[in-house]
Amino acid sequence: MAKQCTTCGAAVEIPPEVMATTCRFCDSGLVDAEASEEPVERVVPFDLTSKRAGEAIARWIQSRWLAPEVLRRAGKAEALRPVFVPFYAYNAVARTRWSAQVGIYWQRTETYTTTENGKTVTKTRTVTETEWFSLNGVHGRVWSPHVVSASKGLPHDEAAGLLPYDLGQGRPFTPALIAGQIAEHPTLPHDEAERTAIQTLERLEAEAIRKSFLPGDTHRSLTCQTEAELRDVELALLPVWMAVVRYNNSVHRVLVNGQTGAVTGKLPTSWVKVAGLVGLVLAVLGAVACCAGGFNVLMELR
Amino acid sequence: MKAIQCDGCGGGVGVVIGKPEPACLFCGSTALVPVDPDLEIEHASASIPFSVDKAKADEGFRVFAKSSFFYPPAIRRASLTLRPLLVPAWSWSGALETTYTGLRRAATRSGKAPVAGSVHLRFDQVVVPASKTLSQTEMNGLGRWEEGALSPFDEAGSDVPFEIAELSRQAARSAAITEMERRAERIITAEEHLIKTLTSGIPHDLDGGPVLLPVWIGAYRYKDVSYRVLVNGQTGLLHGQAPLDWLRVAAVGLGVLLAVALAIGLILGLFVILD
Repeated sequence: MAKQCTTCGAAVEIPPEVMATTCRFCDSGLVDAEASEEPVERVVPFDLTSKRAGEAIARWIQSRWLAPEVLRRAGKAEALRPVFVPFYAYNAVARTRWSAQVGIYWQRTETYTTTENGKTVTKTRTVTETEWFSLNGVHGRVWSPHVVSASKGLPHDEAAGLLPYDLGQGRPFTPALIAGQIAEHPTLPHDEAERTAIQTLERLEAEAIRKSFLPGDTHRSLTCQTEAELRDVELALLPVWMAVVRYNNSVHRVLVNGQTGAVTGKLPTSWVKVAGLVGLVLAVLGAVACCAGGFNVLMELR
Repeated sequence: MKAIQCDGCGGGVGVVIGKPEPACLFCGSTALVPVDPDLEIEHASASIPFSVDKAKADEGFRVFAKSSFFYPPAIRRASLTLRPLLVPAWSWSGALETTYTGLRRAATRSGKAPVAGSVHLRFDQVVVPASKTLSQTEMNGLGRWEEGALSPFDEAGSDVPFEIAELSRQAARSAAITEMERRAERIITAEEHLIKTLTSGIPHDLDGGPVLLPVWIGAYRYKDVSYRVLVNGQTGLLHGQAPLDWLRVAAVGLGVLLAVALAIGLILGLFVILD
């Protein structure tokens, strides 16, 4: 869609998914909030400067041990730019029927015989055993805000690494808040976003039950049946620094949470390093086997 | 009306224009700076009037100060200036659908067995402080309020200083839910005789509003530590902390030890004689 820049009068082409951008001729901000079918309710401002976003990316790249060494040594990404990405923030209620085997540890002392200095002696030791119980129940929880990407360009699986955002820091939307910046319209249809929201809730519930709800010391065979209800939804623009890493003709996207500095993305894997690692593991295993074999031979010779 | 904030401790006090500006009620500092009241915050339109007068509040403190032999003599004899303050708070009611799991003592190998369940709990008055002055524990320590006594609050006509609320409805609501979850966990632990409890809840029918509550506040310093005494201005219930006189604690401990030693000595002596 072509829009006329209010500052210099140039006609600027704005792609349909773009809500705000800058005029290519005079660099003033253009906001096309009206084109959106649904109103943005909240904008969370950028807390992270481009310098700190760049540093966060550098640290993140250096922490990827299996990435090609060329990338790690360069330690930086290209085309770093701030983008307001649309997200749906749901107020969701989930109830999960679950059942599991819950294990509780208990200790018993056992006596055993062993050979010491050629003599047979009886000793005692403490053994930890697990007593298993079948348990089932319901886990109920409110997930609010439950945040899901509303952009087709940024699938939720990729965006999930950016979470969480503190939406409490958000401000009611006004075009001025995103003027001069790049912002996107929501491009994901509501029903698709809802499907993703419910699927993620199922995963989150299972994780919450496993990590902080099951009693006892350990558990196994957890099964969950989640019923999720999405109550309200709010469209929010959340701050994301986007950058790319190029390697051998392939482009990899790196994202930084513009509020917390959390970095997410996928870097290429160096197959040389993986092969080296596998080789090392095999070598260690081989060495252990050789030693054990040699020891056995020695013992037999005796 | 304007709001001022203490540079020393950060407490906010509402001041009616035309009346003298007080020193900070909490730390005594006079370094008060005007702040712009936050427009998104809902302020109380009703307050509970004071029905405990200064004499009764003071008497309450004297009873408290003498309530333990272990309080230092300086405090046991002290009189404290209690000042009245209307403290902003949110009062919430609602239910918490609480799902829980836990461990209970049982005749099993480990001596424990897991349990799971769910229960619907109603709370008819959960009060959360709307300023940083009182902690949730202190607010709970002031006990229940008779909300029937709420009457319209006229800030210009108030002869009692009042604090400015700093909590939005959203924040007050989540503070109330947190407090309900804490209470639910305590109730379930007690009723189900659990030795460990994990809960997760869904709130229902939450309803709440901002109120101003009458509190007598006094603070004193003892050996460079500041202690606070609060009196519920409606019921007279006192919540306070006081330092312990370690000399007295040690003296009593030593006395008990001596008495035990003496008793053992006597018994042993008796055996020797009988022998």
